Amino acid sequence: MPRILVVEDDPTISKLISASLKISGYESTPCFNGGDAVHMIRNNDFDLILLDVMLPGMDGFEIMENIRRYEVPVIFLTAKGDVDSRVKGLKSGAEDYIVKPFEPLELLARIEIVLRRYHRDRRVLDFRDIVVNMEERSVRRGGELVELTPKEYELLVLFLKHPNVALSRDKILDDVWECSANIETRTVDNHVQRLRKKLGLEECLKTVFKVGYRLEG
Amino acid sequence: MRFWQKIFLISLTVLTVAINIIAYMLIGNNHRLNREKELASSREMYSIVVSSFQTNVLYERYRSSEDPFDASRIAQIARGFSYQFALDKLFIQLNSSEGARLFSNFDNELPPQLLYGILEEGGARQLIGKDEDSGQVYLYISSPVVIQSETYFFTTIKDITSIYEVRGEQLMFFSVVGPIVSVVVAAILLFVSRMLTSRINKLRRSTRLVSEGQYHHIDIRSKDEVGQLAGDFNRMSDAIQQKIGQLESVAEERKNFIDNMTHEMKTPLTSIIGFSDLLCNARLDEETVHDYAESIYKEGKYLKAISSKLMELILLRQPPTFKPVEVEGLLQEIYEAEEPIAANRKVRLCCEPVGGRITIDRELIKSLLYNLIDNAIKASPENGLVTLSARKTEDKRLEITVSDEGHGIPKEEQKRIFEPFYRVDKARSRKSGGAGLGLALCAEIAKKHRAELVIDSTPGKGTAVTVRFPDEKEVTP
Repeated sequence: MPRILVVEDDPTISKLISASLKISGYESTPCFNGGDAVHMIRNNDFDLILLDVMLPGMDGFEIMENIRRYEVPVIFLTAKGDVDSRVKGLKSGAEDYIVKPFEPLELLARIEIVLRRYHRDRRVLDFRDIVVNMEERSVRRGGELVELTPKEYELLVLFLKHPNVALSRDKILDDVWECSANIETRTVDNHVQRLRKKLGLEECLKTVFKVGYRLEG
Repeated sequence: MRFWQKIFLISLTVLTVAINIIAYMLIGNNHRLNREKELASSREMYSIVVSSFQTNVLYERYRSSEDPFDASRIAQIARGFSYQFALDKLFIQLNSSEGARLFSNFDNELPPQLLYGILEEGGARQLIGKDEDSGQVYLYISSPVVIQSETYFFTTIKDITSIYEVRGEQLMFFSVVGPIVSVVVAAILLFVSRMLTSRINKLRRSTRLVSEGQYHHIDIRSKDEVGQLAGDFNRMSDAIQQKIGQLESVAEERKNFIDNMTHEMKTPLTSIIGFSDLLCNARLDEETVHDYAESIYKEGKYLKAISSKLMELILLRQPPTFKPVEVEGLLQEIYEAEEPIAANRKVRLCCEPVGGRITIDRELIKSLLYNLIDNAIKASPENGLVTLSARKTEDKRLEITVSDEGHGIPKEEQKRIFEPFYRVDKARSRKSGGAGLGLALCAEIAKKHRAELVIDSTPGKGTAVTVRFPDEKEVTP
């Protein structure tokens, strides 16, 4: 389970980020000021750092200077959206730069990209008796190998990465089919039907009225 | 055409024309005077010659009493007589009354109009004629003279070529000297006009630099108009630089304010959007749902606080309305409004008013004091005392102080607390719903009243903020 340090001085936002990360199966550690952040990064092995720029004690750019040698990927999370700040942020060595206000799904998507780049993402996903090994690209249910088409496989991975979150049909089309223009949302429904049948998820993979689907468990 | 070229060409033209006109007038006048002098002396000469000739004839008449004493005899006398004037280049001609030439030592023919013309005053004709072949100029004077009861025309011819030659020489001289003088004058003018305009060019270069944003001083130290212009220019350059500096700092302040404001607005917005997104999409237990809803509520309240404070700041742009206000009544009103808030927080509030009136904008000062008291209450511990007091100073100025027994403000923070969105303790301020604009608002209101805000704070012991109003006379706008 990837460990993420959340350096954010506003307690409400910190709580929001931690909640979003927890839902997606990340382990998060909050940190409320700059000095503590450097200390915590030095003594722990984090897979990713979410870093606010305006912090009491030491600002985000200073922290970057101090932690560069640990080679932990950093995503800046800030209210400063102007081009200069973005450029400065990215030049300082950050992997990404997210401007507040952001939506949790966007944050999660960006975290996933950065983790994949650093090969720190989860290679094995599991849900109840289903285990997906992303390196082998194999799906097992109770130890038995289950055959899935490429799209079914990607759809399953998407649900497993976002358990307990409602995913809209558009979002699913965007992620799995990558272009939603030519494909109808019925395609999504058909694939979900087949997934349910093949993996016995009729109970857990729920339809959310007028939105899409949610994997509950 | 460049300015120096204009100055140069105009002055040169005017000067050349003037020099020429003056020279020609001088030469002409000189010639005229010479000629008149010659004319006068010739006339005098003529009458002397005539009377001398008559005397000669008379003398000859008496010396030889031969008969007949006719015209050829007179011509003979005239010949002898004429020799004595040869050196003066004075020729003599004698004609009979019919015009026949009796004697002449003058080689040329007389101009015909001389003998038959109208007699001028004084009985003599005079004429200036030029001999086209030799170029000589002659002055002819002629008049009828009665000799031995016969009338003759007696003519003297004077060579006056030299007068005309003098004029020619003067003109020749001037035609050589004139251009030389012109060249010298042109050189001087060129130098002068370049020198005058070089400073103007210097000014021009400086003006261009200023227009490009490089403010500087011109070094021209003369007391003439250009020097004064340079002085004015330097003053202007200074003034612009100062103004630009002011504008820049105002713009910088604005930018900071906007930056801070976006940050302050985006933080609660992020929470509101994020938590409501989770509430919509995630499957959560009841306790978590409640927790998230409360966060949304709190952040919403906080946004409201910011927007209402911003509103107050915007309303401050309108001109205040100053009216005399009873200090005691004002403080009492504030006390009554704030007392329940203090009680709610378990803070004691006490009011120590003073009598008298002051000219202020009542609503603005109320807003200022509310903000100060709110801050004091938020800073106070349980059972802490917040005091709202007023007094008159020795120089008759009114002071209103809000003091608390709270956690105080560190010395190094005191300078910055009037900046918009600046918070001494960010976490605590946000928790109590502060927008970070209260003191900025107070500072604006104080500025409108030309009042001072004085902070006296010891960390751990408490803070006293004093509004020191100016002398009553100065407040009235």
